[in-house]
Amino acid sequence: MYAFIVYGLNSSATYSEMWKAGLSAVGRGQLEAAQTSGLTNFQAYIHVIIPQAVGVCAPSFCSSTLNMLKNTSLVFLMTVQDITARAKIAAGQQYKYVEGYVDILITYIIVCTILEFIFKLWEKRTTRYKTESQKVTAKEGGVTA
Amino acid sequence: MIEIKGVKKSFGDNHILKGVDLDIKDGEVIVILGPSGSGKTTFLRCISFLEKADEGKWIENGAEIDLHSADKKQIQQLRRKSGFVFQNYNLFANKTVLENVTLGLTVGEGVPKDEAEKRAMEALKKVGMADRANFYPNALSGGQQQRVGIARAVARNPELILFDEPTSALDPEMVGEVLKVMSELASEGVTMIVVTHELDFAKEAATKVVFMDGGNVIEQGPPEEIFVSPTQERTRQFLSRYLPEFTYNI
Repeated sequence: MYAFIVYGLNSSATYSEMWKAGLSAVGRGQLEAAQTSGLTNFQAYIHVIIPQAVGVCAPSFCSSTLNMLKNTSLVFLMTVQDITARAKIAAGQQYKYVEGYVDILITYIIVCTILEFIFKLWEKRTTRYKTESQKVTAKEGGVTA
Repeated sequence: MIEIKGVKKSFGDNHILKGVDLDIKDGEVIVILGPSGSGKTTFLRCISFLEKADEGKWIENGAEIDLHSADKKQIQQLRRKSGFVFQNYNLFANKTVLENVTLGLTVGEGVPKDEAEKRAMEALKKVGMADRANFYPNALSGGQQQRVGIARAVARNPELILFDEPTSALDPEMVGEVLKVMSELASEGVTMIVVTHELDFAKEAATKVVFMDGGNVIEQGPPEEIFVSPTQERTRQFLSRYLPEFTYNI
């Protein structure tokens, strides 16, 4: 329980700082353009600024999420058992350290790869406007055979 | 007819605008000329509330809005009546060309999507960008982006379009295509205020030329007057390259 609170507070500080960086990375001109187009500030954030900031934030969110995942093994210090702790205990009981550590190594690799893949997909989706020259609409079929 | 009165603005001790007045009649094309740092851009930004003026009034049909203390509702109202074209285009990077033009209509004014797209396509046709409707801004050249910027302002049918040095970031070839679009708008009777260094455009398209220096309006009048026989020495100096030369044969 305390572990959740501690990690929640710790990482929310980091994430909010990243959000801030992401939002300020979107140029002031974008907000001004939205304002002069007759949008309110709130509408400008919803339609223009946040969608761009999300793409900017994706890579740093990814790395700090992976970091947090690995850091959670520290919870053993307060007697909470995560997979690292369990593996250590099991390895100690049966005197099979190599097997134990290789097991958690593989587990971490798999979990991290999946997470990374998800974040990559997210980044790709949100920065489409930078990498593609035009939006393919359903009307035009979308698929070039 | 819109009257703008006594616009003042300073950044700290630096007085940028020292009380600028401007009358805008319907269909008028006003070109503001002046050296860099004379407050032309700041003036445009003040009357579109991108910068908060220290003093100043916007008078339209007898209704008066204070540029310094206008509330959010009044600001929103005035902004909906005017369009703004930026020096560095400022197209919404995450939106396609078409979405750039429709966003102000659908989200800002609540126009249904179909109608907004129809109006947007008309505006894009006007500026010759209809074939690029599904492109993202980063795939367009500067001149094309600026034309989309103009379409974005035009599509909402504003009473007044403000141009803030629309050609300053473009190469000479692209300047031509943007100015052509602007001249066409001018001949259609769209009311515009244009800050520019393109004196040829001022000469041909303007109905009124305003010369600013040091935060004041030095001189204003029809282009034939300003470009041929300016009364003020400062204007004469600034336009020296463009004034007709007199040669004397004895």
